[in-house]
Amino acid sequence: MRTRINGLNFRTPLLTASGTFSEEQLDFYRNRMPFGGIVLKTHTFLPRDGNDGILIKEVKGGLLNSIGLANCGIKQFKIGKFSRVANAHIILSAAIFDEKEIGAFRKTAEKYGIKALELNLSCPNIKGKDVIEDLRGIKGLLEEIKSVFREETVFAKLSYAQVKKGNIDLLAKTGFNGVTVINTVPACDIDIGKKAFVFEKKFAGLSGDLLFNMALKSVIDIKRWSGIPVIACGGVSSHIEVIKYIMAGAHLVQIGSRIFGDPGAPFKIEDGIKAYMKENGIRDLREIRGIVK
Amino acid sequence: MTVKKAFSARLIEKKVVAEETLLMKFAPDTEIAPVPGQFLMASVPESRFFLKRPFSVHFYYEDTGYFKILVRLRDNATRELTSLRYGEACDFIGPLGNGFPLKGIEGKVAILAGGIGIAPFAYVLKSLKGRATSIDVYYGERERRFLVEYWRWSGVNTFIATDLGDEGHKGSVLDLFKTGREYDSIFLCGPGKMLEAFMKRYPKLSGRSSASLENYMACGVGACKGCKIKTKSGIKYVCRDGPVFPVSELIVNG
Ligand SMILES: Cc1cc2nc3c(=O)[nH]c(=O)nc-3n(C[C@H](O)[C@H](O)[C@H](O)COP(=O)(O)OP(=O)(O)OC[C@H]3O[C@@H](n4cnc5c(N)ncnc54)[C@H](O)[C@@H]3O)c2cc1C
Ligand SMILES: Cc1cc2nc3c(=O)[nH]c(=O)nc-3n(C[C@H](O)[C@H](O)[C@H](O)COP(=O)(O)O)c2cc1C
Ligand code: FES
Repeated sequence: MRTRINGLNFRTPLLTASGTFSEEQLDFYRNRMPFGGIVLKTHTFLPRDGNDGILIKEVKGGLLNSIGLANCGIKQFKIGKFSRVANAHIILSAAIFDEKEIGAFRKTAEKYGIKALELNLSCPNIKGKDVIEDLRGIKGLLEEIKSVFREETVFAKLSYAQVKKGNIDLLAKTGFNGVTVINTVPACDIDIGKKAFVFEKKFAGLSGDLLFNMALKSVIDIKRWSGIPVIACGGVSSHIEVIKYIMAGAHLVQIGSRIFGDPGAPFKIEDGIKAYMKENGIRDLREIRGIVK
Repeated sequence: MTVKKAFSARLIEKKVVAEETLLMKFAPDTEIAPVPGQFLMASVPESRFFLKRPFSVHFYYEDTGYFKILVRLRDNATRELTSLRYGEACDFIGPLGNGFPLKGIEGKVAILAGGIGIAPFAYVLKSLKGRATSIDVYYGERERRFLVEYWRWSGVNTFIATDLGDEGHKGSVLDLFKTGREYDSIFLCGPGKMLEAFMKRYPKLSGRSSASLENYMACGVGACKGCKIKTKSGIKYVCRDGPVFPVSELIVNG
């Protein structure tokens, strides 16, 4: 099950997804660590309170969230109980809007010996409201980030709308070590009693089962365009989605909001992959990676 | 600190105790040792729903390790949960949250419960007995049929109020509470409106009052950041920092 990206060894191909895992959940994995890596909540340079009103709502097949990147700011970042995690890589998640902010993230990574970074490119720009669909607009920033984190393994996390050949080529050329797809998908809901939007911000991010087939297509697309390693994310609830992602070409697979309702899911997924490999005489996941083109 | 676990528990007793309200007793496959006021996230195996739902620990038996939850039917997950049958297993996460600050409690205690907000107090009372010099329970409901019937604990003074007036006082439980000045500690759990009214009416009592809050929850542990509230000491998360908060920390409409 070992997977290697840019010299980093992941004990299992399973990662947590940013914003869905916190140190409190480590209690569930005291005796067994199913993850090869833990992606932390996205931090921004400045602290952010996030949104108000209803922030979470379950919908058919998933979950809407309007958290709005609530975080304490990178300077206040504390590693907490994650410092005691020995057998999984800790991956810092960063939303960086300006070159001047990069240094603070670099300092934090150095302070805690963090060797991998997931750059969250799929959150709305601090100045504008929409995600940047064409990454050429921030080419200079991307180059600067990768040059500051030259030694580290850096993934870029995209939303569905950003999965375009031009963007992938740019990331590969800039030296990014992987692309994570996908972030939540913009969505909304209406309260028919109140005749109003459920969320104060009107729109929220959709996650969960509903995302799987969209994200699977994104993996297929990226592998068609580029050799850059893909970290698949969206709608994983069992080993079946993980195996499909790997067959589509993914190196690593993130488990996101499923973990809220079922902290035991990662164990079942890890066992399921092992059983599938045994039944099918697969010794290394490389044998099936990208087998479906 | 109790360690939170993901565990399974078998349903060993289920009964209707009031309109749309079921008492469910479970035998967990592990020791959970909750403190009064903590809650659990629950879902049936292979649930149709994506998330678990929060329920207070209604009662805990130290000897057997069994626990009870009191479930008021809403719609989706509460219907699924209450259709569990004897012997069937249910999935839980817990115990979660901080619980009521019962350490060193003595003197006169008042409990203010509105609706299903009564749920955590059976276990709270068990822990208070023999320590508090007196316990007065103020319990409000929409109408009589929703009152949890077996609510006749010995050694406790109960004051009932219903909106309809078909049992006890017609109106709010707060009308019965009068000045509340005689109490050393006050514990609240109920609808937001009840808590708001309490805060407005009794600003001077906030220093000795604690309230258990509700909010939408996805994870119940502090990961999703979905159960945020604003307090006088900044942003807090109901599941992780609460659900019980000192009333003096709360902001109306926070
Ligand atoms: C700390 C805490 C303790 C609670 N203790 C009890 C208890 O002991 N007994 C009891 O009957 N109820 C309790 N509740 C409320 C209970 O969680 C909700 O009634 C239940 O989640 C409704 O589920 P549903 O799918 O049937 O409702 P739905 O049909 O989905 O929705 C009905 C309403 O339930 C509430 N609700 C829905 N999902 C959630 C969620 N994930 N988190 C919080 N509220 C939600 C909302 O107000 C919603 O409008 C508690 C809530 C909290 C936060
Ligand atoms: C409550 C919540 C908070 C999230 N916060 C972040 C975040 O801070 N940064 C990020 O890159 N993605 C965030 N995400 C998106 C997830 O990492 C993931 O991309 C998405 O949920 C899809 O995966 P899933 O279907 O497995 O949940 C969040 C998702 C949820 C549900
Ligand atoms: S419910 Fe997820 S942080 Fe409170």
